[in-house]
Amino acid sequence: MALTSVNNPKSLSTRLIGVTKKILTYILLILLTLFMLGPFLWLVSTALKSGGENIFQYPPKLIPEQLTFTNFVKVMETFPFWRYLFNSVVVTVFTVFFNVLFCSLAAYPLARMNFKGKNVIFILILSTMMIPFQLLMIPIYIMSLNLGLSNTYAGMILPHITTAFGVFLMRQAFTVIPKELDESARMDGANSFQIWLRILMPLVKPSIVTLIIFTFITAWGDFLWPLIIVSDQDMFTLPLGLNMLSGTFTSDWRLIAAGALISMAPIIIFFLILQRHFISGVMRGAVKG
Amino acid sequence: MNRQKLTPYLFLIPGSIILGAFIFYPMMRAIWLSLTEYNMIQDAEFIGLDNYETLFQDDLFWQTLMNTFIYLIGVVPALVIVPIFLAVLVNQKVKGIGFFRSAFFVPVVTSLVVAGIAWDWVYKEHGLLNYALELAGIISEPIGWLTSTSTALFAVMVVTIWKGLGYYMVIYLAGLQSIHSDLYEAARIDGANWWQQITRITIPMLMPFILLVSIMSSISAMKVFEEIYVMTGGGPLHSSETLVFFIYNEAFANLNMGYASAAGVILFLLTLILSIINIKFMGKKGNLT
Amino acid sequence: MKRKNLLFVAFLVMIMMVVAACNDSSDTTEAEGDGNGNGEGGGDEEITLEFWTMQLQPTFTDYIEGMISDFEEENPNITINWLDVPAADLEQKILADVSADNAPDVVNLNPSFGGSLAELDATVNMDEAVSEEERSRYLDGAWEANQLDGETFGVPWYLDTAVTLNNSAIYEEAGLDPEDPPETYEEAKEYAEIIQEETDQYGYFPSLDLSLPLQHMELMGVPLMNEDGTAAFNTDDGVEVLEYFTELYENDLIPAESLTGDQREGTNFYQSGEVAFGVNFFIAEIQENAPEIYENTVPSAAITGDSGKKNMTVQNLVVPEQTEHQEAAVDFALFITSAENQVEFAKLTPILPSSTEALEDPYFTDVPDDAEPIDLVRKTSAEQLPDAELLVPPMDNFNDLQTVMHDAFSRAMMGEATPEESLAQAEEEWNEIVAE
Repeated sequence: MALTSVNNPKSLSTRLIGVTKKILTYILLILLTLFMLGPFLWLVSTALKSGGENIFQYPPKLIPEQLTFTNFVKVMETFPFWRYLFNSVVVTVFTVFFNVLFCSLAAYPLARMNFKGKNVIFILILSTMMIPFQLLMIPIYIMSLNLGLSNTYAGMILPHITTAFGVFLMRQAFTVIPKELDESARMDGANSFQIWLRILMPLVKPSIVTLIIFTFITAWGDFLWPLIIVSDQDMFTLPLGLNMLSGTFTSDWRLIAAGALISMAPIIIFFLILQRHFISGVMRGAVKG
Repeated sequence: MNRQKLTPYLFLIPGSIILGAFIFYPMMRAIWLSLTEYNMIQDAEFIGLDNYETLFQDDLFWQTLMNTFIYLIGVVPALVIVPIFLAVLVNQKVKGIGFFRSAFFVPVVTSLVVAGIAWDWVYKEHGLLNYALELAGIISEPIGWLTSTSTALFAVMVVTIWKGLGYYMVIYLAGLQSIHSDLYEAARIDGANWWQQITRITIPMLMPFILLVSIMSSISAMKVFEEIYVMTGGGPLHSSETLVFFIYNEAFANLNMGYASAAGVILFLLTLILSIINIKFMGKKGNLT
Repeated sequence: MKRKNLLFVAFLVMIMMVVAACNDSSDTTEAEGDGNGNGEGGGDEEITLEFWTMQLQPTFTDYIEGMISDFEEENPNITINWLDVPAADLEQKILADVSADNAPDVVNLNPSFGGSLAELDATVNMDEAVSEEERSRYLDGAWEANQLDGETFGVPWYLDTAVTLNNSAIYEEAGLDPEDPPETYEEAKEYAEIIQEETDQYGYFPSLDLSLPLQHMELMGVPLMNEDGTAAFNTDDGVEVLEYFTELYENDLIPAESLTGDQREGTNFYQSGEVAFGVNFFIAEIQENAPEIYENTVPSAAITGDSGKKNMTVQNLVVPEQTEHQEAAVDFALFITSAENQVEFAKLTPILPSSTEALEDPYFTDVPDDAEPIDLVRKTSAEQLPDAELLVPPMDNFNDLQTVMHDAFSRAMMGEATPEESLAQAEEEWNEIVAE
C-alpha cells in the first residue's frame, strides 16, 4: 500500500484532473445539447400527445398526458406517404451520388493542377452561389421546360448535381493532402484519373462523408423547386406531402410534429451511422512510408 | 503532351455543364432582366439603368442593405469561430460522443417552421428568455424581442447561429481528421497547454476549412431569407427585413421582377467583393493563392 | 495576365447576356403531356383541364374528387387534372408557369393576387365569358368582390364573414358575461381593460396583418380613397383610428404580436388561452388543437365601428387568359360553384357559399339546440351576410398600398411618430404610389 502511494503521487492528482476534465466535458456537452435540442423536444412531445390535449397551452407542457403513437400512423394515412417517400428517395439518392461525383471531379484540377483560366473558373463557380434562388427560379424553370424536364425525376435532380459548395469543399480537402503522394504515384505510372480515384478520394473520406450528409439534407428537404417543376400530384416529394398536413382551414399540429419527426429521422440516423468516419488516423498510414 | 493539357478541362466538364446550364445561364438572364421592366406575364421592356437609379433612391433598399450587413457582422464571426471549439469538443473519444455530435446536428435538420414556434416561445413576452432574465434580476420588465424594432433583427440572428453551429462544426470535424495526432503529442511534450495547442496547431492546420466556412457563411448571411420570413416577416417596420426579403417581395408580391433583379445584381456584386476580400486575407494560408 | 483574365470574363459575360436577352420571350414553350397543346376544332375533342386548389387536401380530397368525377361524367370528353398547391407558394408557382406560358386552366386564388394578375390582363374577363343568367345565380356582393377597374376577373367560390370568438372561461374569471360580448371597438377596449386588471391574460387580439389595417379604417367609418384613387384617409377620423390602436398598444391592452405577427398568430394566442376575444380566428384549427378552449368558445358578431359594416372575404376561381380551353374551363368553374356543390362544401367546414340559392338552405339559418361552437360560427357568419361587403376591394399596387398603411400603424403604435405625423406620411406615400 505504502509502496503504491510513494510510487504514484503524481498519478493521483493527474487522475483527479483527468476525471474533473471529463466531468466538465460532459457538463458542457449536456448544456449545449439542451440548447440545441430544445425545439426538438417540443416536437417530440407534441407528436406524442393525444387528441384531447391542448397543444398550444402556455406555458407548454412537455410531458404528454396521454402518450400515443397514433399521430405517426395518421400522418402516413393522410397523404400518399409511401409514394411520396419513394419519390424523395429516388431524387435524393441520385442527387447525392452525382453531386459527390461531379464536385469531386471538378475539385481535383482546381486543387492540384495549373492551367489556363484556373482562377477565373474557380471564381465563376463560386459566383453561382451568390445570386438568390428567387431570381434564378423562373429562368431555370423555363430552361427545364425547354429540355423536356417538366414533371420528371431528372427535372428535380439535374439542377442540383453540381454545387459550388461541393466543389469548394472537396477542393479544400484535396489541398490538405501532401503532394508527395501524387508525385510518387505518377512515378509509378499512374494517370490523373487513377491518382484521383485511388490516392486522393480515399484520403478525403471525412469530407466526402460531409458532402454526402449535406447534399442529402438539401435534396431531402427541397421544397420550392420540386413544387415548381412538378405538375402531377403523384410526383410530389415528402416535404410537399408533409406540407399537406396544414390545410387552409385547419392544421393539426400533432400530425405536423409527427410528420416533421418522420422527415428528420432518416437524416439523423444517417448521420449517426456516418459520423463514425470522423475518426483521426485516416492520414496516418498514408505518409508513414 | 496534348492530353496532359486537356486533362484539367476533362475533369471540369461534367460539373461545368450542369452549373453552366442550370445556374450560370439563368444568372445571365437575371442580369439582363435587371435592365428591364418585367412583370413575368407580359414581355420584358428594356429600360436601361432606370431600375438602378430608382433603387439608389429607395429608402427601403438602403435599410435592408444595412440590415443585411448587420446580419453579416453578427453571424459570420460566431459561425466561423465557435464551431471550431465545438468540433474540438466532440472530436474526443468520450463514450457516447456520437450521440452528442448528432444532438448538435439536430438544429441543422429541424425545419424553420417548426423551430420558429419553439423560438417564439423563447422570445415572447411571457417567454423563456424574459422569464430567465427577470429571475436573474437582469431586467425588470419583459422585452418584446421579436416585436421591437431594436431587437428583432438580433433575435433572428440568434436563430440563424443556433441552426448553423452544427453545420459548420461538421465541416471542421472533417478537417480535424487530417491533422496528425503526432503534432499534438510533440506539443504536449514541449509543455504546450490546451489553448496553445488550439492556436498553434489546430487553427493553422484548419485554415483551408476556415476559409471555406468564412466564405460560405458570408454568402449565406448575405442571402438570409427563411428565418426572417418565418419569424418576423421583416417587421416590425422593416427592422428585420433583409435584402433577399426585399427582392422576394418586389418580385412576387409587387410583380416587379426587373427591379428585384437589379437589387439581386447589387447583392451579387457585394457578395463577390466580400468573397474576394476573404480570399485575399486568408488565401495563402487557406491554400487558395 | 490578370487583365487578360478580366477581359476574357467580361467578354464571356457579354455573350451570355446577349444570348439570354435574345431568348427572352420567344423561347417560351409548351410543357409536355399537359394537354395544353391540343388543337382547335369543334365538337368533342379530348380536353384535359389543369385545376389547381390552395391547400385543400387532405380534408376535402373526397369532396373535390367527387365533384371532378361528376363533371367528367357529364362531359366525357373532358379530363380534369387536379393539383393541390401549398398556399404560401402558390403565387410563385403561378408566376413561374405564366412566365413559361404553361398556366393552369382553372385556379383558386385569393382576390388580391387575382387582382394583380388581372391588372396585367392575365385573366379571362368573366363579365364576357359568363352569361347573364349564370351570373345572376351569385350574390351581388360576391360577384363584385372579384372586380378590378370594373372588370370581373374571377367566379366567386366560397365566402366568409368575420366572426368574433370569445373565451367564456376568461370572461367569467374577469367577472364579465360571455353572452354579452363586445360589439364595437369602444367596448372591446373596455373589456380589454377589465380583463387585464382581473386576469393574467390579454383581452383583445386585433390582427393588423396584411390588409387588416385598411379594413379597420373602413370599419371605423374612414373612407380609404377618393374617386381617383388618391388617399382620403388623412382626416380627424383617420387620426382617431391610429390613436385608438396606439392607446391599446402603449397600455399593453393587446399583445405586441397583433402588430407584427401574421394572420395565424391570433389563433395561436387564442388557442393557448392567452387572449380572451378577437376576430378572424380559425375555429376549425382551435377545435383540432385546443379542445378545452373550443368548448368554452362563444361566437358573436364581428366587432365593428361607426360604419356598422362587416367584412366579407371571397375566394374565387380564375381562368388564366393563356388557357387553350376557355369554354370548358369556365364551365368547370361554374360547375364547382353551383348551389348544390357549394352547400356540400359548406357542410364540411364553416364557410358560406356564394350562390344565392345555396344560402337559402336551412343549414345556414338553423342550428340544433345542442349546437357546437363551429355550428354557431356558421350561423353568426350567415346572419351577417346582408350587412357584409368586401371592405377593401382589389386595387392596383395593392401590396405596396397595404404596406403603407401597415407602416403608418406601426410608426404610431410604436411611438416613432405621432398619429398625425404618421398618417400624413402615409398619405404622401400612398399618393406617390397611385401616381405611378
